[in-house]
Amino acid sequence: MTSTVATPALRRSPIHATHQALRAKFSTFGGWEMPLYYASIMKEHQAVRTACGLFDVSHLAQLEVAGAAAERFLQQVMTQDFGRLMDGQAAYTPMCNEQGGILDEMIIYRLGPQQYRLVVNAGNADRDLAWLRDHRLTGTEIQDLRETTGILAIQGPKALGLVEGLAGTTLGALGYYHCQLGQVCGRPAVIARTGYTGEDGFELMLAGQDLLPVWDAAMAAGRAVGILPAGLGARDTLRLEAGMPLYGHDIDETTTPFEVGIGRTVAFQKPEFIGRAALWRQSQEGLRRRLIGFSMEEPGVPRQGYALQARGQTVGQVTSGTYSPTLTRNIGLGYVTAEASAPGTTLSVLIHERPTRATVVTLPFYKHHGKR
Amino acid sequence: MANVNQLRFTKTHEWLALQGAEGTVGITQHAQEEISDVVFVELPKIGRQVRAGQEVAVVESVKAAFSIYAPVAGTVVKVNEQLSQSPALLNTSPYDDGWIFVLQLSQPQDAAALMTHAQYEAWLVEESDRGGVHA
Repeated sequence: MTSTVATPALRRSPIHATHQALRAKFSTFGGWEMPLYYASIMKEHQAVRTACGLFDVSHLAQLEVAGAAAERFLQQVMTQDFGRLMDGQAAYTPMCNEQGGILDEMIIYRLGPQQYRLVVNAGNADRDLAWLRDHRLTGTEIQDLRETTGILAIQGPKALGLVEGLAGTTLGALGYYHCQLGQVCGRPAVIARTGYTGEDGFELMLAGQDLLPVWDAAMAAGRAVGILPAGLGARDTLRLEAGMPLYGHDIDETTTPFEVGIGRTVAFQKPEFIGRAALWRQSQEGLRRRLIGFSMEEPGVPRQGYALQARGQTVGQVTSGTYSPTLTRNIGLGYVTAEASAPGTTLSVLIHERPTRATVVTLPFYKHHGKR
Repeated sequence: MANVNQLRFTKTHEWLALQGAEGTVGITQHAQEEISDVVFVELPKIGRQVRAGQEVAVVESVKAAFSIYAPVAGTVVKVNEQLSQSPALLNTSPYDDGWIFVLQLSQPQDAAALMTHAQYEAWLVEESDRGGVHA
């Protein structure tokens, strides 16, 4: 690299040194330098599907929205309905612009009647904050918690027992997309039953200085059940198998919730929210393109940017693709025209200029069968 | 295991084992670590003529796709068909069972211009000091 253009310094997790000691391979993601994998993406992926994986996802930005007008504010800037959210409940929601394009998508946890925790994409956090502050209602405080917090995700069929041990409490009754305030290893934490792996698991929101003791305790207690530290590489293959879209790949400002296939998060019963008119119009007119899942029928790994064709015509492009360790075949997500989007449609992926056969499938590729 | 001291190396992390006018090509131990779990290898067609530095094969891992370049000019005379069934041989045996293709060199003396193992090791240190890590 001989570039003379100054690039902003990369952010690092409070436990970066721990990852270095584990000989992690690092990757840049959303302005952060985070572990991509430790020993093997494949092994880390399998650990999450069969036992348990420990992820440092401190690149995810935590924001707090609080105050008497907090609910009214979220109703205005988000597409989901926050009127129905109870304390200790979470909702997945897009935040759209006036055209219905997705500025970001996030999980919002209601910690109390006037207190919400937003967990947003690393690469969008600055823009999100600016947008939220521009649209802020009187009676709402918006706080950026990035400097003082971090998140550890413990995911997999063995996560429940492990987190119960660390938290010293039973958590079986905590439902999917629910959270509770508590302690983990004696440190204050938001314990949330959420994740981005398609597996049962927890996300622990902690103070930055508490990440290390909780990480160490989880690794020690998890040894008996086969826990592995897992990086962004496995997180990506896991979320893709679960059919979960990733911002910057499958979602951006030009895509709408209906095109992405998350139209259920658009609450038209709300009289007004940013993007409502455009989204309503689209819901009535129908879609020109859709995000679909496809499975490769011939050898080759689909990657972002590859063209998708149907009957020799280009109908869209791949936005995410990988080898699926669980299904042992190659899978991908991509946008295609509405006519080419029905499950069962035969597509060709142009892999290194060679048309390679694929079939549109119903998402998710993988669904876990455990209790949620 | 192949004696790495008899191999020649490229800055793009291929090795070449020269026997007469034929050279077997694979990727280095360092490259396989960087590429990580290999899931698919796109092999070249036998008879294909390539220039030095031209992309000949593609190695796909769970991480990304990596181009494999011809260390020298020549014609592809053999490919490792075993990789179609067992692509992970690139990880487990990069210098032996994980070889990728054999070139008939246009000019056998071209191999002398490639790095020795000691030079390659020194190059790796230099490269990591610069922060470049791409295989």
